[in-house]
Amino acid sequence: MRLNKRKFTQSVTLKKSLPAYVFLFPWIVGVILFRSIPLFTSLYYSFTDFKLFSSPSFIGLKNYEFMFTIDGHYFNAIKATFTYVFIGVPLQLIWALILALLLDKNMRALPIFRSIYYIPSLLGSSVAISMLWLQFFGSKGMFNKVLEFFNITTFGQFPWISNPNTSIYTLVLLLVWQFGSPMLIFLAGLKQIPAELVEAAKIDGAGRSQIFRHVTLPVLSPIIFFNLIMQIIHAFKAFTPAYIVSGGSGGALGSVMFYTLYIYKSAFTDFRMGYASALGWILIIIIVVFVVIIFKTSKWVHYAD
Amino acid sequence: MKKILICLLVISMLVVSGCAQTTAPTTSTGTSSSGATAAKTTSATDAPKKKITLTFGWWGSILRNDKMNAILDLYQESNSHITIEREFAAYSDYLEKLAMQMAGGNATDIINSSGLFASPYATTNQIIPMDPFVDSGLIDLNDWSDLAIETGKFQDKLYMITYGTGGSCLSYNQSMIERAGMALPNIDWNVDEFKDYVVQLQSKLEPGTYALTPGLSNDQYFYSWVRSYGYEITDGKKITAPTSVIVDWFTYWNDLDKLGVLPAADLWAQESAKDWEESMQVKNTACMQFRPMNHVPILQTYSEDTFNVVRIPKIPNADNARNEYIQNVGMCITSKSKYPEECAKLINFIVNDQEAQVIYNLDMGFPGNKKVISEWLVGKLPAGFDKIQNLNDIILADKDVSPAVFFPATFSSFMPSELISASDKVSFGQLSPQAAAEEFVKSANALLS
Amino acid sequence: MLNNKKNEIIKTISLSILAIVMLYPLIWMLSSSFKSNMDIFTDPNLIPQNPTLQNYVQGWKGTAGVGFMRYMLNSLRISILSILGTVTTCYMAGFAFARLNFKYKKPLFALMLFMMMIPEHVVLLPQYVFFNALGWIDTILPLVIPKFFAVESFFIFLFIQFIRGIPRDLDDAATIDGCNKFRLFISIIAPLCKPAFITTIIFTFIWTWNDFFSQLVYLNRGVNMTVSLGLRVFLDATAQSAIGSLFAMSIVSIIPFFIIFIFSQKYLVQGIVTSGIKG
Repeated sequence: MRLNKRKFTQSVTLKKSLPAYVFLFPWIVGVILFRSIPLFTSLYYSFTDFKLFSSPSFIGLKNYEFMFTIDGHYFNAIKATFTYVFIGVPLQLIWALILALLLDKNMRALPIFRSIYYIPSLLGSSVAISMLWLQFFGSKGMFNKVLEFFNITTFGQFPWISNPNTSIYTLVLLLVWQFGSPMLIFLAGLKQIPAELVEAAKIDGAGRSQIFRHVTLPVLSPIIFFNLIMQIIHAFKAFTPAYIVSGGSGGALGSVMFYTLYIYKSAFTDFRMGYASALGWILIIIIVVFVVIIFKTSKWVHYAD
Repeated sequence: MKKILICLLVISMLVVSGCAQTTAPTTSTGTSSSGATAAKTTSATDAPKKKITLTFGWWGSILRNDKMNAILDLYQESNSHITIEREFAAYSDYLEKLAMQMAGGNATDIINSSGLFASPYATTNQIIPMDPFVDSGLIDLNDWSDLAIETGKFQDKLYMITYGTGGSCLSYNQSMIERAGMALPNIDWNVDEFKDYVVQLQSKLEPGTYALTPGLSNDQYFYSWVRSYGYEITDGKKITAPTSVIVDWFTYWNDLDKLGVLPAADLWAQESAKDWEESMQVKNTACMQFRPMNHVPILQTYSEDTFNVVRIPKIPNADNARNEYIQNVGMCITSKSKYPEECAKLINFIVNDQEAQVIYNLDMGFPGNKKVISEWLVGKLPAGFDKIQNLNDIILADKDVSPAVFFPATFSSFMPSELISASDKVSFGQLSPQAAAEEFVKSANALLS
Repeated sequence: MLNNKKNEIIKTISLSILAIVMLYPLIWMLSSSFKSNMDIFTDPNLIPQNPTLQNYVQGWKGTAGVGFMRYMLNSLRISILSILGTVTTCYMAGFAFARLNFKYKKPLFALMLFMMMIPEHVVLLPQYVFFNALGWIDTILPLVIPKFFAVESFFIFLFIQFIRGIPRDLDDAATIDGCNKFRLFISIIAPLCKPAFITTIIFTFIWTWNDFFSQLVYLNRGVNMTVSLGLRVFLDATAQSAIGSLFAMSIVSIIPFFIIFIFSQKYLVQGIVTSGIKG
């Protein structure tokens, strides 16, 4: 009896679900073909000693054990990545939001500014960035000249880009400098704020900061949430900045050895595909944990529906 | 919205179809000019051979790419039935991509390789021995130096035909030394005499200028150092050099650092990203540097100063021995290739054809074919080449120097990065030479097992 | 009124100063692209003392007989196909998640989020082997075909967020008018999603144009190389490099974007209000 009932409800909902599944069809095929199969393969590799040219043999949890006990580089990868994510992303989002707010007003030159501020992001991961960053944060770079100009001489010819204590922050700065994408999304979101709401608040005698806190922020909160999730995941998966600025080496003392760069090196310079897969799965778990935390604490997000 | 979508659609169709049309002729012939000549020669010969497409991969800069392209075009012109498809990338991109292609079984027919990283491909039969082609005369090594042949051998089989070889050396900015009023470096120095010299040189240089650059992560010099003691660094299963030899290595550099003749570690770390124009030796901020020999002529093109070379210093407590590791770069044929004979012919053309070698112009150091320098390039040698040639002759005449070997590690490529990691810890003062050497041995052994 | 004008002038000036500071590295690069390789590091002036177009000429010639124009066309082709695939399929999936009810919605939504979190590097080798078996290596297919299956979950998420921001009353009214799901999908929600579409188009374009990693992996022959791969060839640590050409071609490579960006950001500005949420 119970079984029957369950079957009944199921068939009804499935039938009702049909239009939705039509829309979802390409995505579902994509998930299976381009994600699930490779993902399960790499999960299997992570329990083997697969060395790229020899066939894999099962070694249980040995790769995971090696990662947390013997591997001296693993901590570098964690440290560099976490610094990049947890310092870089908030700074980038705040900066993007400030500029989006500045740019969202009815000013004549605004379209030009909007485009200009986006240019750094257009360059993305071009190799030219490595030369530019060296030119600016190298020992004889522009940054030191600016410090000198302001009479800050304690640093002299400090090589910001290659000193193991500071090099990661030059990459954080690169992330902040390329704030164009979150800024665009903020701008798109700001456009969704109904003008009446702002007007109404003004009539009620609300000041600028009050409007920002009580009107702009709540309406913008789904967008902030989206940007936060997106940029955190993006930053965890970041590869090119470190690869390009350090020439693939991960920097002095592994100071900019991003997690993904370490995976890549393990797989294709050390040929330890099994180990690289294990590294990858731990990274997936790390990302999932942080995203779940952000979702669980997302009470501040207001949706129109 | 619809308008944009329609626009996009139209543009995309134009681009896609346009590209498809333009791609077809270019891919089949490489360049249009060689395509035209190819067509002519086909009609001239009465029995056209079966059309064959070979793939050829290399790494390099735009200059080398242009050279390789010209050589391959040249070959296509005289062999109209052959089309050579070209793949090229910057060095590190090439290496990593090659690993992936090998794993996927779709590497090019001919790959570029070096003794440093070819052994994993040889041990897993991804590349084939070329001895049969030498025996059958497809590859002619009669005019070749033994050393150049030897560097392509792995476990007594010839896996690689060398473009060029070059040992480790100490390069120096001669003009800088002359300006400082010092005598030039001596080829018979041992390490202690060398130390005294750099200290003296340092005292005569301006502040912010250094007598020497750090070389503790210079793998080529490091292997030479280990060989000078009579060891190889590894047999492919574990580190075979005694830890004490490696401790000596780090101590040697640590001492030089304490003497104040080296730039600070963080200052040096930014050099790796710099270009030749900006390198310390060209910019006159450092005088001496350990390098592979074939870099010196390149260095020379970027400066009006004169550059010169000398052998690496002897090691006093190892019977004054020196045994340079001789690096080589060459071509291998992959086992998936359908036309290994055709590959062999092409390789033979590249290394033994006069016109090809004139174009190549010693890009990778000393060529195997002795005629290249003694006959074909007389009067056309790159600036500064004579100096490294003299040094090379001296090194090869040294009875102590055994021919370089294929780097024997089963999976060798992590060795340089482990060395860099340990070196960093010494130069940034995190570990003592003793501890760094132990860590290097431990982690390298963990990776080898 | 006067105060407003004053405000605007102050704001314009401060935004300009900020823009100059932010763009300084690029201005330096632009200036360097007109200097000879030797001068780039010795001539500190922003206005080159011996201006030359040599870098542009050299760079445009490309390398090994493959010109830079080919790189640009190759990149453009991949970008446009990726945009088509991503925009269509991600909007479809986003619409389903945001507006339709279906069985297993929650687990599928979680799955969608999970897909966003997978680093490329984890699935790289298995995927490579898979595409290799299909004979797709050294074609644009591995770079383009997955985009037609909504693999860029970011954009699904983007569409969901945008559609959820659109009041439901609108589709309720449409449904009462006898509008079915497909009409809702095409004629009601789509026009309101204009900013999301534009954002997706711009981002897909930029990401594809800049993505060097997967292009490096899947494209082999010189004639198939793209802009991001082509630029890397100008710098090689083991041989001579051509920084001037690198800078020159980096500038050239962002010009198409910049034009498209200027053209499309107008649509971003229009936003949802003017496109008839009240009408």
